[in-house]
Amino acid sequence: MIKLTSINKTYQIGDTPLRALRDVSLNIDSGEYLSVMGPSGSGKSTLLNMIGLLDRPDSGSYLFDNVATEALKEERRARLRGENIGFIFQSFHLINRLTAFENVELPLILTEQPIKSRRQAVAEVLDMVGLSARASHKPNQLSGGQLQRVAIARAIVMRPRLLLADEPTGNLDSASGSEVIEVIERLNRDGITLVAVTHDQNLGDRATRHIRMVDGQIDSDQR
Amino acid sequence: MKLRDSTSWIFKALWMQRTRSLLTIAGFSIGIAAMVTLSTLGEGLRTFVLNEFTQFGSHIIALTPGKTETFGMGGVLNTTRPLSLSDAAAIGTLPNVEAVVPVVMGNAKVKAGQRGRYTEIAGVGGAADKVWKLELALGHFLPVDDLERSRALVVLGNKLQQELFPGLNPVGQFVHIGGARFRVVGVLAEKGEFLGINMDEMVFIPASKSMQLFNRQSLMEVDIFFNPRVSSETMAKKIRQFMIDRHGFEDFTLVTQDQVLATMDNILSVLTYAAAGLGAISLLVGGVGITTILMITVTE
Amino acid sequence: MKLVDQISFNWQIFQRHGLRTFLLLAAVGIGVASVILLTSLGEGARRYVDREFSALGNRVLIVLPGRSETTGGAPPIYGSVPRDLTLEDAYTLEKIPGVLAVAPIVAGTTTVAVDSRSREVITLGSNQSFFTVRKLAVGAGQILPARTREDAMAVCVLGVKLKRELFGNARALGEWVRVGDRRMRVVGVLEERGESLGLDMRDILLIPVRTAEQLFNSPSLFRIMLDIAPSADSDLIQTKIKAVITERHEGEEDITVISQDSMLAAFNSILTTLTLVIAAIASISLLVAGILIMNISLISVSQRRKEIGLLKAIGASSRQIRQLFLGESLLLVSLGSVAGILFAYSLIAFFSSLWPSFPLMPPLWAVPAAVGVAFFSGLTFSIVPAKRAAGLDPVLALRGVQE
Repeated sequence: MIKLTSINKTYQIGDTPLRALRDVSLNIDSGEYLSVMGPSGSGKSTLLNMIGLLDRPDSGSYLFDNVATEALKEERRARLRGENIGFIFQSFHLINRLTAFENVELPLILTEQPIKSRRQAVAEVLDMVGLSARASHKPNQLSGGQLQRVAIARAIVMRPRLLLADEPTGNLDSASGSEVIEVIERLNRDGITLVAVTHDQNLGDRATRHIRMVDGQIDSDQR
Repeated sequence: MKLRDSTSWIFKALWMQRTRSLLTIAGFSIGIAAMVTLSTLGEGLRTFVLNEFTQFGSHIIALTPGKTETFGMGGVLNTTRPLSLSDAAAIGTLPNVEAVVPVVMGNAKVKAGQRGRYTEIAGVGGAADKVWKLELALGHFLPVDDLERSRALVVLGNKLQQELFPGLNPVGQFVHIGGARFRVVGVLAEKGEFLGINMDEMVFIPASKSMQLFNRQSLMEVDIFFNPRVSSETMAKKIRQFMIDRHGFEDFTLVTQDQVLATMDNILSVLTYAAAGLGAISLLVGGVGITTILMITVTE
Repeated sequence: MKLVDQISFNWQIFQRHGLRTFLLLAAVGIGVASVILLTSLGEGARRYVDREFSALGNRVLIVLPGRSETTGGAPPIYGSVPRDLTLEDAYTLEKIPGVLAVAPIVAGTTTVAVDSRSREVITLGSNQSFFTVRKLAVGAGQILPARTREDAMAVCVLGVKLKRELFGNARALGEWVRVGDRRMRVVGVLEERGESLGLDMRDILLIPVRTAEQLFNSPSLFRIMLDIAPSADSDLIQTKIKAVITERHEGEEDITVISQDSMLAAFNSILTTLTLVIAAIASISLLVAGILIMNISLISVSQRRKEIGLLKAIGASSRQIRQLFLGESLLLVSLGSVAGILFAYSLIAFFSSLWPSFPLMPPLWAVPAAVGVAFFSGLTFSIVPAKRAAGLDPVLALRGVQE
């Protein structure tokens, strides 16, 4: 499903160039459960952004479903992202002025789904994350674990095949963290491909494939 | 906080948000510019018009026949209460009156040989050049002689001289105006427009001749120039009494230059305010902009 | 993104920033309202003049004695010429085909007195045709009798104000008034009517044209007004009038003929130009409003970086982001314009009820022009912020990093 070959990415921070990814090659099959771990600045977030089509490599190739993505226009990449990839962030990134329901609805709105099927889809995913009762609450009325579950609902409302989680438990206490892990693992069991970047050894260990990054390179890849 | 510290703090804040500050300043300054430009235009017009009016000095009183002011046409229409040349002559003998110019305007064809042109004819007195500051290019102005028994002399406007006597000296030549013969004694220097009247196309003849020519029983206006040391109220009062004594009752209108100026000033000030107001709308919008930005800055 | 969704998305932003939105709406609203209001003043003046003229009928010609050869110069207004324009001249014009009525006018000022009350008024000597041409009617009594065409009858018609000043509430019809050194009988009082072309019809005295000639001791006409047939060729009649008078004046064309149409056209073009200039000046405020929108949008973009990053992460393209921000400005301008239009029209309604005689009304183009300029300004100044938003790097934007 995902085939990264010799990906390089360098950021310019001030005067000094920072090589975030060096010659990274990685294949991920459909339905896998990966954890990406490593020290800060090791390039794991960059790798995740690269997989999520948010960033473009300086060199190398990235085949997503056998489609070469690096040549695609921004427009096409956005659509690919919207339809196939869900994101979960450490800081949730919910829009404060919108209710939980409206936040989850956003991806459907961007792709112009009919209103009726939209309602149904949102209700389904909110039910899946156990937040049907909180649909009309705004983010400031929800707890951290609930916020992340709303974010998960938003990530999966388009029925993506790939779920990318960037420190999904980083801002949560352990109880909420477990709740969240439980939800995403259930999604993985139902067939979604899951890639989680984390510092959380507990979460890292639960994955079926463990990737460790150091200095922009894949240090180890264990199943 | 010391003034220097607070100033530098403000400048730092502005510099940090320079796009924001720049746009706020742009909006507000467009408003200011609109207001300043428009009020300057208004004020400029006001100054211009007032200067036009005061170029002959402010010691002038206009006497017109009839009691009502009929949109400035009072002297132009027929009247059963005529103002005569002897009235004008008599006013000229009053103490402190420096000059009197009777005015009878009309329209006629001025002919010189084969050439002719319809134009405005001003019947005036011999003092008109002095009080209206008319400059001569050739010859001299109408002589100051008996208002009621003037000779048939004429002074041509500059443009008219070119039309009728192109390239020739007309002084001493004769022109025909409405069948009567007039001898040219002078040509005016170029003067341009004054309040919409083209002075270069005018022809000046003695008022008494003008009255005969146009078959008018009354002067249209008498301009009285008086000693600057006397106030216009005092002078107007004296003239009013003098004329009432002559006519038996007040069948004339006196307007002092001060009154004209005051009225003009009023009208033009209103115009200036209106123009400034128009500009102020943009300023208001610019002000709303500043409020908005300040509010956002405070919230941040 | 569907239009409804976009509008509701933008609307939620407005609700979130209520005060900011209100101020932006006020800015656009003030601009739009001022364009509409100010142009309606200019247009009102134009309509007022238009109405004054059409009250006279559009097919009126005016003959003035004298002529001005200065191109573009003012017509001769003094009325004094060596060769008088006479009543006989006027009546000869009646023979020109297409001329319906000829009203000769002798004008002057006289003193009108009843007992000890006296007033000085503008006095017009004419005949019955004057009432036809100026579309005048009497409120009481009758107009000047038919015989006044040639006879110096001692009769007169008073303006309403003059009647009140002289007689108060008492009956004026049939009474005698002193006009100058003569006595005349009041046969009619004009109906109440305001100023007409600068002449206050309530404060005038109408007498037979022959009587006026004697009163002012002059055969000279001040003006001749002619009513011409609706189907007649105005230019042709003007030429004929000049020819007839020239023939009667020994070959001298010493008159000026002005048509109502040309005067109206001149006034119209002056006032329309004035209105356009005012509109342009008022539009400057919309420019300022546009700059304000740009400023706020830029702030908005930098405040909402994370949101923009998120939208990109969940599949929004740059085009969609750009649309969102442009749409926000458009919605703002639309709402501001509506507010401005409502505000302007309610003020117009208010002022119209204060001064019903002044036709305050914006010209047809004012609303589209105001809204058009508002949209143009709003859109133009939104392009930069919208582009900036669309161009944000999603990775950096998500982290909230300022570029």
